[in-house]
Amino acid sequence: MPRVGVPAALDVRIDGKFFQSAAGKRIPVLSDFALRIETGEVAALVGPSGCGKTTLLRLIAGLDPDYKGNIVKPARGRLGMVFQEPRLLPWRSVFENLRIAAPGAAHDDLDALLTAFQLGDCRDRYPGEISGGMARRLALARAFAVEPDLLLLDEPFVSLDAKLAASLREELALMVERRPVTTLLVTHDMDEAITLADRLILLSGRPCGVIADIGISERRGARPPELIAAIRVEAARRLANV
Amino acid sequence: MARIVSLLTMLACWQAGAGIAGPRLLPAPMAVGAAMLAEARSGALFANLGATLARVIAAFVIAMAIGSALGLWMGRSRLADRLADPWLVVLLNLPALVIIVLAYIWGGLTETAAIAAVALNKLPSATVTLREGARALDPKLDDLAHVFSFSRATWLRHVAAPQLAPYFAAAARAGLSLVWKIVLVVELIGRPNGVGFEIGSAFQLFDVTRILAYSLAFVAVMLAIEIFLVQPFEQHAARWRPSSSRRQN
Ligand SMILES: Nc1ncnc2c1ncn2[C@@H]1O[C@H](COP(=O)(O)OP(=O)(O)OP(=O)(O)O)[C@@H](O)[C@H]1O
Ligand SMILES: [Mg+2]
Repeated sequence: MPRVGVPAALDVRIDGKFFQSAAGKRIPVLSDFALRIETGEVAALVGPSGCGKTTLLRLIAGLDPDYKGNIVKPARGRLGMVFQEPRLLPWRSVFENLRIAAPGAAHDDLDALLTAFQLGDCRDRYPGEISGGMARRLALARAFAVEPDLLLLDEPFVSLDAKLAASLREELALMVERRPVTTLLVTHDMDEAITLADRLILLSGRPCGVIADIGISERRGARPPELIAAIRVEAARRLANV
Repeated sequence: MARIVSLLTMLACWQAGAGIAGPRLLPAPMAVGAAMLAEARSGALFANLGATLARVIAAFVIAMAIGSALGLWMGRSRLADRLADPWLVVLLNLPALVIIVLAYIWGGLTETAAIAAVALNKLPSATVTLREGARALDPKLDDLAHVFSFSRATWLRHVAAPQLAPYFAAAARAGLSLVWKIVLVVELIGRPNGVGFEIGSAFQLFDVTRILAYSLAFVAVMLAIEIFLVQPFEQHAARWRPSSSRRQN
């Protein structure tokens, strides 16, 4: 059953995030970085490798308290996250991995979720016995199983074959359509960002900053190829201007 | 198969040694077997084995429970590690005999003192092993637990315990053999029954046959525990591993 939740806005302001290099030097990763995502909005973050996208998601998820700034998350919101690698509990079965993350969910709902992500056949297998693509699907299913109010996705479709990635993108679009959730999607794939997101946020290299913030007004799923092409051109132009 | 051959060789060596040394110093396997049978008929064997086994289990359970909790805590918290480490080093380096004698002096020649002394002997090594395991816990899975707000119980059961299982099994295996050896000493010094007490009285009569009969009977019991409890636990804990990486016996 679609549940109309009360997802809320995400407000991120990071004055400074540093990492200590092995030589003891302080390396700035994020500085004077600000980002606001409205309730139920899907924002795609696109930026060069190593610019600090994963770091940003970790800060938002509350995994790294060592930064200067302020992050306001949806009040009492459940967090769903897909890490850059699947990160499953290898000693628990596929189904148990879902159940442990979402202890409150009905088993039927979890089974339905497994079916939606084409994992019904390996419900009782261990993560070591399923393929990498299946593990990625399970990580996605787990993020949805908790009925999140804030969804953080770190390159969830990378290294999947094109057909599978496309079907998973569709599944993701369907899920956020059914139950709006404030979503931050990190990706390297411009087309993926343009098809899935309401907003396209282009990032520069270190220290990470926002180059462009392009809103897409047309409804997700109803975007004609010409529009997608036009946005792609626009994004390329903005990237070239830096 | 290789194990059986090895065991038979051991028996043959024993038999040959008995022939050379004579029955007073080293009785033949058959003589020891007969003594064991006689003790079993009178019921003394089982009463003594039972008393010793109960002490082994009590001390082992106490030491493993406290040692696991302490090790986990020390492995996770720097402060706890700093606070408890000196105690651990002292305890690790205190000879077993000193702990036993002091326990009897302070606690009287009681069952409690005996079990406490044995548990205290095992505690530090169990703690150190589990602390090693706690330090090796995968921080990525802790992140996962944090993001999905696992409860403490869920974390312990589904995240920590499976990672600690090999350390726990190692501590249990090393602990079991240590504990039962120390239990014998404790019984020898201050208990009126048990395998250790029997060996003590046999020693006073230079009765090597009885010494061997009792110790071998107890070795058999411990071997059975290893085969029927420890190994199945390890197999159960490793059931999720793809079978190719599992160790083949
Ligand atoms: N724990 C750490 N210690 C030191 N430096 C780090 C640490 N984690 C990340 N970094 C550095 O911070 C920068 C940003 O890393 P991050 O993982 O956020 O990049 P990313 O944008 O996610 O890259 P990718 O697209 O390749 O995943 C990198 O230069 C990396 O070297
Ligand atoms: Mg990354």
